[in-house]
Amino acid sequence: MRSISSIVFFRFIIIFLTQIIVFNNILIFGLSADIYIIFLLIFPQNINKSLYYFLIFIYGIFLDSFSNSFGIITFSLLISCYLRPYILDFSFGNFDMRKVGKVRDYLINTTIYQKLTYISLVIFSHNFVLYFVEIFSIYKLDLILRNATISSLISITLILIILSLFYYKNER
Amino acid sequence: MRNFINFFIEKIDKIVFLVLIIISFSFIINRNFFQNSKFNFFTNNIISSVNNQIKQINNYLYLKSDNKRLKSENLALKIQINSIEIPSNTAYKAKNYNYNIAEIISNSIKHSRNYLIINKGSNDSVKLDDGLVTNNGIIGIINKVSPKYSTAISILNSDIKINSKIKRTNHFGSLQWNGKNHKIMTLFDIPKSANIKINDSVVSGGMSLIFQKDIPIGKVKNIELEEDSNYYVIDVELFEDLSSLRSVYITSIYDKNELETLKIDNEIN
Repeated sequence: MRSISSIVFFRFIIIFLTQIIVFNNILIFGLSADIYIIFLLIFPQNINKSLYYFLIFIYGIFLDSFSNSFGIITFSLLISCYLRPYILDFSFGNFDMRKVGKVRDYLINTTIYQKLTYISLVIFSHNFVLYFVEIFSIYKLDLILRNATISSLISITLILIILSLFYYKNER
Repeated sequence: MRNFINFFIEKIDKIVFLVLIIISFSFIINRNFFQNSKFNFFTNNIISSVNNQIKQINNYLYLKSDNKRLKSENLALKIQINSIEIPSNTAYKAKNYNYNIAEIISNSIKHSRNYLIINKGSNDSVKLDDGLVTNNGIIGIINKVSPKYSTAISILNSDIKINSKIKRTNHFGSLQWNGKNHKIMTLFDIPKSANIKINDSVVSGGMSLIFQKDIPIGKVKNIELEEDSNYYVIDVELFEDLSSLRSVYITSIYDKNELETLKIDNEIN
């Protein structure tokens, strides 16, 4: 059995490289196709929390430095990282956290609506914070909401496709 | 003391989270004052050189379109060379510009404050506030220089304004990006009295010491006159597509310091 740290390291490298080499060069409706948040979506639950925050921080810094965004991605990833346990609770019901340790159990043995709620809530909250700190002006709230919505829709579609290709496949 | 340590151990997760959030927020704050910040992470040579490697792989894919572009540029230059006159008066020579070519390593158009990184730095005598242009328009202004690389503020950055004018009528205004479409910019401060038509071309104004006069920028796409206002708000469609940009020219002015001190002297008196 592979250890948890090697799996996380492997995902880190693969998702990061795919994002900066392929998806950073693709623009749909003038907005980027972001898939890097998959790393946060399928991050293991039963890992030390400080380590969890720290890994996400490093991941964000790497992404930021390669996409000219100066800390925006790091900040918003950390916020959604903090919100994630609450969103897990909300979308999958009140599971006993210690019994169901793996995110994989959440993402596989649940209905499509539950998965969709989880994925879209994480992504939308992430994108909203991202565009909010990026544009940083309350007068442009319409632009923030528009960008966040469109880019969330693009990301959700892409992420559902990628998850169904690579993540669920291993389980069968 | 023991209570304090216990408290610290209990809340370590939240403390780590808060520290990280504060660090990342300080990055965001610093980006606006990037020139002054000592933190050199984003222009780090390692990251730029990795970016450079990725770019070199991509370069093969664009050889064909690059060649096409160079041919058309050559043709335009050959036509220009026939009609050129060498200026004899010394006044013209005082404001002379120096050109240098650079490759774009990293570029973005998706944020509302965009930056780009080029592969020339202080070793190639790039200085702060040099301009980036192409044949089809203005691209940006250098804001940080390291030995091998430098970063520039893209014109697609809602914080900067560019002095420009309508070519036909010579009316001056300032060009700014509204953050929505990467092909459209907005021209402010053109007075109501100006007789402007759709498809008029917009060129750089030459009032600043960064860009030369009469570099083409775009054409007028839409004209609006707000109520109770004496100034037009004009949508300008850019000639240059910043999403597919590969190389730029760096322009810098000779005798910049002299001209700048002159300008400051005038402002004081």
